[in-house]
Amino acid sequence: MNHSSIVIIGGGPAGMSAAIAAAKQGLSCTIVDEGFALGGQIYRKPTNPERAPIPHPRGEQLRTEIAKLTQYIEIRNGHSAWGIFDGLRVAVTSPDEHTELLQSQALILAPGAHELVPPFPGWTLPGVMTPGAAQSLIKTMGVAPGKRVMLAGTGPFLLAVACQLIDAGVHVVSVLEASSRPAWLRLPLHGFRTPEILVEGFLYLNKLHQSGVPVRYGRIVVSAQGESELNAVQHAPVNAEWFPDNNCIETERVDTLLVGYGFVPRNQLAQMAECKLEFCPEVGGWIPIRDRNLSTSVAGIFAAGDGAGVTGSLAAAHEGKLAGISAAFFLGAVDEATFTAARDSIEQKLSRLMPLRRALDKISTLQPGLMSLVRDDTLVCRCEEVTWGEAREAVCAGSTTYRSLKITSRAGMGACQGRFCWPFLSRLVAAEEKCSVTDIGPPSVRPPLGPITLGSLAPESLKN
Amino acid sequence: MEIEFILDGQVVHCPEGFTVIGALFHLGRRVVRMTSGTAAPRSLFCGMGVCCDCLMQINERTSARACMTLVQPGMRVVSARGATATAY
Repeated sequence: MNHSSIVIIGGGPAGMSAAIAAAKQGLSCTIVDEGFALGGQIYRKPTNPERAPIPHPRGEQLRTEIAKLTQYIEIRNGHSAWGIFDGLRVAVTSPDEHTELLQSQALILAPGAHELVPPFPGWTLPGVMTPGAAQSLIKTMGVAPGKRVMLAGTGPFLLAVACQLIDAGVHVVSVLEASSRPAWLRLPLHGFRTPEILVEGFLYLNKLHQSGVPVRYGRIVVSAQGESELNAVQHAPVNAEWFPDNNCIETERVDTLLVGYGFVPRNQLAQMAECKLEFCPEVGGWIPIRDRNLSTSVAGIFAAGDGAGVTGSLAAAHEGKLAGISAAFFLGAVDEATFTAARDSIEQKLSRLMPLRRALDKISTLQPGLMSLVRDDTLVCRCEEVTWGEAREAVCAGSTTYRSLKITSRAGMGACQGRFCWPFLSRLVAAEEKCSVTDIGPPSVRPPLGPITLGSLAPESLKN
Repeated sequence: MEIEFILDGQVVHCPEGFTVIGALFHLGRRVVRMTSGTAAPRSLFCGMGVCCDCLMQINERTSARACMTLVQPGMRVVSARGATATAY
């Protein structure tokens, strides 16, 4: 069994910052990350630097700092953390299929978030993907997701990805933002403490304008069409609750649709470690409850970044630093005065970011109209190919928990383990039960959290 | 430098440092597999190893995520072809 003082799950801005902070206190850390290199989704490092655009300087800076601390920081890229056992032991499988239990004295969870996509007719067609998926192709290899691309959903991430597509020479047809334009125009009122972020947003809008790409507010995609791949998208204007006006549908011929309505924290390891969770829809859903030191309800387990509530990459870096120094304080490697001074300074930086963030969260709050797009034959569970009609029937027949719905309809039983269907199915169940989503709960978790082989679990003596 | 690998029995090439999904898109092929239930086409969806829509057989490994696997020389990549598929 491997021993490191601190095991950090996730190598994005939160995980990297946590490692740097803890290593500077002289603690040994292991970063476990599924990616090919440190950076997470936001600061992905090119796997083909000749074709990919220049990586983000903030990511490069973090990687450089880590590289200076390699005597303290062990990096395990391509490793999946798929279970937590007996307190702080993390099961980790390497790319060459070896499994290890990593023992630590403190654990920092910084797993990030995945995107939120509501089910709608045609959403499983090849060519329909998340903005993050398209971004991953461009950032790492300079590969275009398609030829004519539309983006739809809500939030500034769509604008950022649209600009990256333009830079990569991809034809962006339009960006559909579900919320209304007046809400966006009021943002500067909330962002005056963070003018640099407002400027970044303005530069995105300006680039789209210069490139002739319209940003159409108050519109959502209602269906995607095509046989073996996407070839057209239907979209419509929406009211304040995002119910589409089906009398005003427009059809646009595109081969690629990037759709994202925000992010869902990857809370599974926290849940498996029996950290207490709470439902905070404004930051993406179920998140571990944390104290001021970013400690979860389980002693020795800390949580930072989007995986503990979506607040973006800048906040994630600050939180990671706080989690790192908190873990060091927990392990007695830093004295209380130093710790509280560091914490106060980080809290100030975080509070500066929050007004704009909260305003953005409010603009992008999911509205009930988004739930009205599914038809009876629309798949809600992509993995097990369960339709809305089948899921609804099961719910109406009394399957009103994740477990029973899974058993009766197979929804949530597939490889993604309910990560993509449950944000919407839980709302369906809540509507049927006339209760809140909070009462329904997150999907149950059990190891392994991702696909691993039986062979990777076998002891070396059994392998040939 | 180009890397040679085998996609559904055909010898194909992609630049180095490409993921399997990146190589497929580079080759103009976006459909990754047909589903086991209804033989519906699927492709890249989340791009970060969570949704498992891009599962393929890669060498001996079934249910490998094409978005999380880098192409290696001589790699054998097989797509699942619907209800009779064994790769899922």
